[in-house]
Amino acid sequence: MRACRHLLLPALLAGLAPASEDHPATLRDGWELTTLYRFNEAEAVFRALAAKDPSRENRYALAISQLNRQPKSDRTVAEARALLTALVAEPAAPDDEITQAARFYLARILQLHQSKPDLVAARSAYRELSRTPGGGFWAEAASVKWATLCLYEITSWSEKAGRLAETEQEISRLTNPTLQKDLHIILADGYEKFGVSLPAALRHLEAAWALGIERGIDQGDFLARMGELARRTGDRAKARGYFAEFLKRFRRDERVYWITLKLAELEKEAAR
Amino acid sequence: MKPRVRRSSLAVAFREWRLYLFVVPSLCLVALFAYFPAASAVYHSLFDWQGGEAKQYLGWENFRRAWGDRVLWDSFVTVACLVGFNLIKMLPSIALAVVIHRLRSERWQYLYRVLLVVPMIVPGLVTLFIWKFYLDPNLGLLNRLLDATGLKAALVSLDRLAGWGVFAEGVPVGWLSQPELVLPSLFLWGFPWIGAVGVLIYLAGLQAIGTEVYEAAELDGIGPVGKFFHIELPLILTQVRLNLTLLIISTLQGYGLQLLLLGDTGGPGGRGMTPGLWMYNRAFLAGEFGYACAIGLILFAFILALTLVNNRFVRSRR
Amino acid sequence: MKRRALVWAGLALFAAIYAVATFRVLLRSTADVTAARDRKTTVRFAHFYLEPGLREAYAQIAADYMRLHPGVEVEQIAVPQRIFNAWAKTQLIGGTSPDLVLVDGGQFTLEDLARHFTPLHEWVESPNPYNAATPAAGLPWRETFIDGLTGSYDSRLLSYYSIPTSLFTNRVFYNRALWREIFGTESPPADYEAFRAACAAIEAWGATHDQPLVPLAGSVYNTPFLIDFLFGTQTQRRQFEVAWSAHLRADLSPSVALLQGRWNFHDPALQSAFRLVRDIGQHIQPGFLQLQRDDANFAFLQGRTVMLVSGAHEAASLRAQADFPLGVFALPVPGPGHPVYGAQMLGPVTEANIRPAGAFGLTRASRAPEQAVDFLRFLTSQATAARFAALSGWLTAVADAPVPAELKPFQPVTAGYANGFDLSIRRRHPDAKRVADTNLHLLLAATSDAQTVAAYTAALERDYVPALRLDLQSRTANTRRNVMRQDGNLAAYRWLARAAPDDAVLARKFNEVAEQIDGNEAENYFILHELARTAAGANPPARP
Repeated sequence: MRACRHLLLPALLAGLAPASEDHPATLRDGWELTTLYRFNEAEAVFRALAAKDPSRENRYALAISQLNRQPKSDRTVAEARALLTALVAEPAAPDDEITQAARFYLARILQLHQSKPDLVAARSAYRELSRTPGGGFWAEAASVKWATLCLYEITSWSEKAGRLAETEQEISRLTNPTLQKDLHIILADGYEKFGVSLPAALRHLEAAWALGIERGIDQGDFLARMGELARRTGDRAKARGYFAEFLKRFRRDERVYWITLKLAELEKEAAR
Repeated sequence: MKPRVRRSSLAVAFREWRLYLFVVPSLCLVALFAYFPAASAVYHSLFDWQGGEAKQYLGWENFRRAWGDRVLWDSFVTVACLVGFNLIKMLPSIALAVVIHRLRSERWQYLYRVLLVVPMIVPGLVTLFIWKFYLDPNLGLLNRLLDATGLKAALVSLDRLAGWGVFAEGVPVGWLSQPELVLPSLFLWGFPWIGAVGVLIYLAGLQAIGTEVYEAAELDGIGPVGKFFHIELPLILTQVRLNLTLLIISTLQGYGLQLLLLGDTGGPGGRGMTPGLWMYNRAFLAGEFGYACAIGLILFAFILALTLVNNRFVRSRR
Repeated sequence: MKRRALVWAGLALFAAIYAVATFRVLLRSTADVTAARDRKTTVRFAHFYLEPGLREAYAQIAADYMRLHPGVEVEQIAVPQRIFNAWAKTQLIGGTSPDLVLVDGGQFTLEDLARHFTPLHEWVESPNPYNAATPAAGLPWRETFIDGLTGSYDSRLLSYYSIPTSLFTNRVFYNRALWREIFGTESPPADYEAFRAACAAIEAWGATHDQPLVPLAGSVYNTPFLIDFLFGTQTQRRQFEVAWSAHLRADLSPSVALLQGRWNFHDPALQSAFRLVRDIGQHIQPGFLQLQRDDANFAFLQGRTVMLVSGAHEAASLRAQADFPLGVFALPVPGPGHPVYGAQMLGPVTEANIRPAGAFGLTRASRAPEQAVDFLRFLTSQATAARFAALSGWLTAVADAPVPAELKPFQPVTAGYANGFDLSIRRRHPDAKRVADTNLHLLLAATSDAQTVAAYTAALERDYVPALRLDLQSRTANTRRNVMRQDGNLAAYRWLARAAPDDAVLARKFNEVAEQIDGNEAENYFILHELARTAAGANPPARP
């Protein structure tokens, strides 16, 4: 049944069964359209819903669709900003999901959506949101964004070790496993790309792996990378484990030959 | 009096208003297939657009970027050379039109006109492939001709003296694979450069010259060359202007020949890169459709300016 | 009066003809649909492969399927590649598209895919019933393809959008008759040195027999198969040394690494690659930079060249046209033991990363999506895939499907290391590639090796990095655009996942969007960081 819904709903939304007076489009329909990048149609649905019932949920949905309404311009983004600002200004509980999400997307506008991003303002908006009492998903997501901007602010490489240490402290603030995992990956990348510490990179990759990597393509990369980092840092037992797991799970990968050789080499060393 | 005349001409124009309805379908088609794409290009030149639905307004950013685009401005130098070549290539058509026009036998005139028109039934692509074959380094007619006549040896000797590094013994001449030869090859293209349509247009102009003009010239003792410069050329300048305008537009816009012969990068050294080809490259290779639209508009501005200059300075002294 | 009547008559005639034409069009489409509904289920599939053998193979397989399912009619629509894009888009927008449309030509945008194609996630996770009683029985359909269907996964739409049917590897075709005449044997060269020696011997034989004979046919289409591949063998080791991640996969890091100064054009690996390309370039048809695919095929088929490098998909067509026996061998690789070119190599080159082709997407306009997917399952079952390969002479994308003897030399070699980068850096840097291509003539000029390599190096030093910077800027802009759109997705999946907390698929998609946004954004900022930092000319300190 679930399979049917996943297959048929988009087909219905594709226009085979357009919304009618008897079956008006719902908030769910609008969000489904958004997942298919059909922002203008989603915006029409949300606009109609918000006109009929200007609830916070409907206006929030309208603001999100407005962010990617085509053609995109600073004017359309400003309209989204106005809607989000209004949502933030309205009285609500501090941990209210819509308030938090609106604040998050206001920061995203500064970082990403306006034609000339203001990364400094975005960073401070994320910082403020991440320190909101009560936390919540969007506050934690803001922590991850803050960490990214902090780490990749254009500075000399010699400053990167300090930035990584500062960013690392954010992990303890996170409770959402997805966001924890993302921050571990960002940190592992940072440690490796900026050449600060391979053991630290491996530690964060392992932490992310333990939390679960969603994409199959990335899982192969993770196992190969953890194995290779373990090998380079001298932890041969760990390297053997990761390489063996890789070979078990990714029989058709382009790295099979190389990893087989690496594993054999490690086995030989272990046998000595 | 004047307003009355205008009113009456308007009345005449609108008396048979139903006839205009016949024009409507054609106008709709022109609007749909000519004006709408042009307007769409103007609109999209202001956007960061990759050809899909998503686009972001950029204002004049694409034009600012074009200003600093070295490949684009180099391509205008190439296209200026091509326009220069094509100006030279106009001359044989004018000369042939005059020669046909001066034939005393009307039957022979007719025959020559027919002979000119017959090759027009050969598709352009076939002509293109034949020329491509001529320029083939291994099998091409041009290289065989150079070898058979001993011209190749002369060119190799000249190369040794001048240090061009283009012609070498035992190595076939790569007409389109050596950057130094790309423009000369494009110049050679189509030799002896007789454009059938051009000749027919000039002939139409020449035939409108009255016999009394020639008789008067003969009485004044003007010879055949004098007749050409003092009578025929000045009186067919309208046709020359038309051909010149079409030629400038087609050369500036054109990129099909370069794309087919040299590929989307403009060939070795990028020597065959024209603005049209760069526009194509940006749109279909880099996926920068918005920027390609901006290049198209810059090209349009150039064509418009050159056409205005052409219309202003090349005038018939009829 | 008479004139006025004529005008009205003309208008009336015009209107009448228009009305009749419109009516006929409407009537025809309605009639077609009604008739189709009345008769039987029809599955139509469209592609642009007009090579001989393939259409016949598809037709045979369709006939087999119709025999198995008498209530179903399968129609094949072959449209020339040149107009396929326009044709397919018109059909998709008009809602009249076939059930299955070839999608692997890169002709469809994200919006096209989202709007007109059905995600296949639910289908690919369940086994292919036509694989019952084979070793693939019980495996998810996805797992039965050589790449585990990773090439069909659209990471922006978070689902699989196509099912591949074929696979193209590149090989050297040779004229066995000529080979025997020259060498007295038909055995192909065993390694790179033997290949090079054979090229020299062919030229010498041509000269002594007064028969201008060129070892390799070449064109702007064919030659990159060989020279880009050989170039990669020389950067095989270097690419992993400059990579920013230890994942051991060939990736795009060399582009940023060049900005960072981790490699340059004077690097021994690059100099070696230039020399190798020049070595082989000497034996390719002169002026190949101005020749096209057909010119190269023509030269080879006429016996003016002894070898031709091309894709496996050309095999059937070449066999049909050649009046000589055709031989095939793998692209020559110098190997780590080679005295000149071995030092830069890790070892043999794997073809395990070749992405399958001939991928069909299921359109939303399909009136029988289940039937269309069933046909795809049939087409990609192990038995039918073997039959497809035998009938078409094309490799199949299905893993472990039996392959006919004549296709064995084309099967991908999986034992080896990923090849290194060429100057297009994994075909993702069009401007940089343009600079490399337009200067290639310098490397192939008729002067000394040292002069040509120096001239090519100088040209790249002058023009390559600015072009690469443009490519990287364009890449980051693309990523930014995608992340902007994914921002909407994140909010949408958050809402949908909260509304259905038990829905594991939604939870997975939400996590995946978040993972992707964070990962893509971090990588983008790293590239921007390095673009900005290296613009000032600063290079990073040595890595640990």
